[in-house]
Amino acid sequence: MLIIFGIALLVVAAAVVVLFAMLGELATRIPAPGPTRRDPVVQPLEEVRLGGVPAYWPPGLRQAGGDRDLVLIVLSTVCSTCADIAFQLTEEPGHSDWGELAVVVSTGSESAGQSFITQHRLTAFRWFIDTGGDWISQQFGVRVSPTALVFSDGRLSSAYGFHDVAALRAKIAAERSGSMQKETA
Amino acid sequence: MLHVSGWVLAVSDGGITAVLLNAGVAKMVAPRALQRALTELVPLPGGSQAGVLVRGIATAELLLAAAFLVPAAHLVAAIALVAFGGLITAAGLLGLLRRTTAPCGCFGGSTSQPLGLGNVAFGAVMIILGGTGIAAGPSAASPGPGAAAAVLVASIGTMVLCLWLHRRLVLELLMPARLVRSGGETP
Repeated sequence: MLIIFGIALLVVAAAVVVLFAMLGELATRIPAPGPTRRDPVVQPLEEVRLGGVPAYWPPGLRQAGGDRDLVLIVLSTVCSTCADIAFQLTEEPGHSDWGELAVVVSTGSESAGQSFITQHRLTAFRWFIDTGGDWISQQFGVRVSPTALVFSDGRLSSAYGFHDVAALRAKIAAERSGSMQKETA
Repeated sequence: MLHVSGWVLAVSDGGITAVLLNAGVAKMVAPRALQRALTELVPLPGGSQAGVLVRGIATAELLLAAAFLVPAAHLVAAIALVAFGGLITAAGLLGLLRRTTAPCGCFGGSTSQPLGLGNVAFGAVMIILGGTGIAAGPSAASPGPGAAAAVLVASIGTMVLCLWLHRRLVLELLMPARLVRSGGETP
């Protein structure tokens, strides 16, 4: 009797070991919480129409379109990196002080775009929901996200693919100060 | 023949079973850690074959664990344990010589130490225990209360060792992250 009880207990113990081993394996697949190390590479995009001026500015960006210098960040509701970009814009570290910034959310449906804007609290910025990505692709030839479109004197001067908003901001600041120095010279 | 008390043998067999059961199950579920460690140690054929090798080791450990609970197979199990201890010692020595850095994965993903002194010591203990079993002879382990005690020790030992090996995971799940960190469990 005792040996039957012992074997039953051993089977239960083995099952517990299996569960813990699986739990341990799953735990190793979850990234550790804390500051995330993002790729700081800011990659220029070549397939966009540089130097162009959009035929029209959609509602939500009309006022932004009047600015001489503007940075449009194009996000998509179906890209996981875009959610992280939105998180960087609003929370970590937050870029609400970036006055020339506006956000375009490319999405399949208006409601998905609205929920992306609400969920990531992007209402702190000027924003526009681009259903089907029609406006962004027709005006600038942009078909990837996340993308940053940099406007200088109302014209599209450069476009970048990026993962780290701080790195992007530094790159644009360097670009702007470089062009200012050229003008002064 | 060496005379070993039946109760000492029961505790020893139960302990060996607990260790081998934890090691075998962990390798079976999470073979990647040992796969990486072995690849760092010796040139191994690519991915799936290295995985088959690790699962083969895990199967051998589980069979050996079961054998220690069957009195009739005690002598064979003791001989196999000596051989197994020798292999672990050799792997530890090789790890020391080559200064490997990948976690050994001897107990799945929960072990963070690379192959080295710990494995040499563990292998030596296995050789001593196996050697004692051989010296005690085939009739040392007999069916009856001793065998039942070995199974009970194995069950309890398996649970205790499992909790100890996964103590960090248990603490992280049971306590708020802040408390675990301040306790020095996570860097």
